[in-house]
Amino acid sequence: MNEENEALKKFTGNPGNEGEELNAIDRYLKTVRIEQPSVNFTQHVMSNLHRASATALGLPSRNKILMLAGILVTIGIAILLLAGGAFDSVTAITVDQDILPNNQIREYIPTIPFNGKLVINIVILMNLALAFIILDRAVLKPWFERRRHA
Amino acid sequence: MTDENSLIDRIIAGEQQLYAELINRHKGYAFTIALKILQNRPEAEEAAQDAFIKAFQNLAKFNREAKFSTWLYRIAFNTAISYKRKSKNIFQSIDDVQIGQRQEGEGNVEHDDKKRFIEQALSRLSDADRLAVNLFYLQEFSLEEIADITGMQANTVKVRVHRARQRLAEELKSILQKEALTL
Repeated sequence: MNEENEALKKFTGNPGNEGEELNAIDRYLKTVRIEQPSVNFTQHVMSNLHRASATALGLPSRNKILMLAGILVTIGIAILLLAGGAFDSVTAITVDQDILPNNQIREYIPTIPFNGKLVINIVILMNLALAFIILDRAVLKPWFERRRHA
Repeated sequence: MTDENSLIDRIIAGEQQLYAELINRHKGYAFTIALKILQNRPEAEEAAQDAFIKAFQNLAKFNREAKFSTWLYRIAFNTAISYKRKSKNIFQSIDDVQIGQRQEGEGNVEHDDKKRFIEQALSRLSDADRLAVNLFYLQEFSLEEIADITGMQANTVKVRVHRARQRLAEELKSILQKEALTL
């Protein structure tokens, strides 16, 4: 704080060369005091505080719930397709020789082994993990917070 | 500071009513900061109240390495800035106020005029500069604290206060010259 006082003196101590305007400004700024808000300021904040915390701990956001529903629907469809054997025939990625002209490709294009069922299972697991995270953030956490503050 | 930290711990633990004590300790400065930015008492009061609510909602995230007051005043500064951006067109221009004030008592006309001109010159400074100048002259805050509140470097604050003061003098001079020409 002493450093600031010194700095202030440095700014204001030799106003003679800087003119009447600087003098006036310094005099004015030195009179500036802390302003006080209205008497019911604290009361007002405290009453709004409860409203604010109630809003903060309110229902989970609509977007998060919609996202959770979307993920669950995706998982459901993927499981149904998997159970119906839709991915059983997908076993490898092959480049169709009919599409590529033979004169341009002289070498044999290998097929890439590909397990469709395994890939879909991994996708389902990743979606499940995401669904659990969203469930925790959007539903469980706000619910427990609400119970804690009730 | 330890006292304030223990108070904050108790508020976070659920004793919400203790927040009133923190409000009473800091409302003056928070309101003054908002007022210096917004230059309108009702708006400043609303912004300061909003700042206290925001601080309460984020109290658990408050980093104890800094002073609570500095953290709170930074929130008040940012809230006031966003209030100003939102309602820039609603504010009453200082030029509109002049007519009403001129007609008041003749006794302190010269003194009032000078004060009004300085306020006019102050209003032409940037928000951060105006606040930095006011906080600096209050002599209650260190340069580091002013820097933390306004989001500047301490050295930058020093330079900006110095330049702002000179700019104020130039503004005041030009206002006075214009006034002299209209007489």
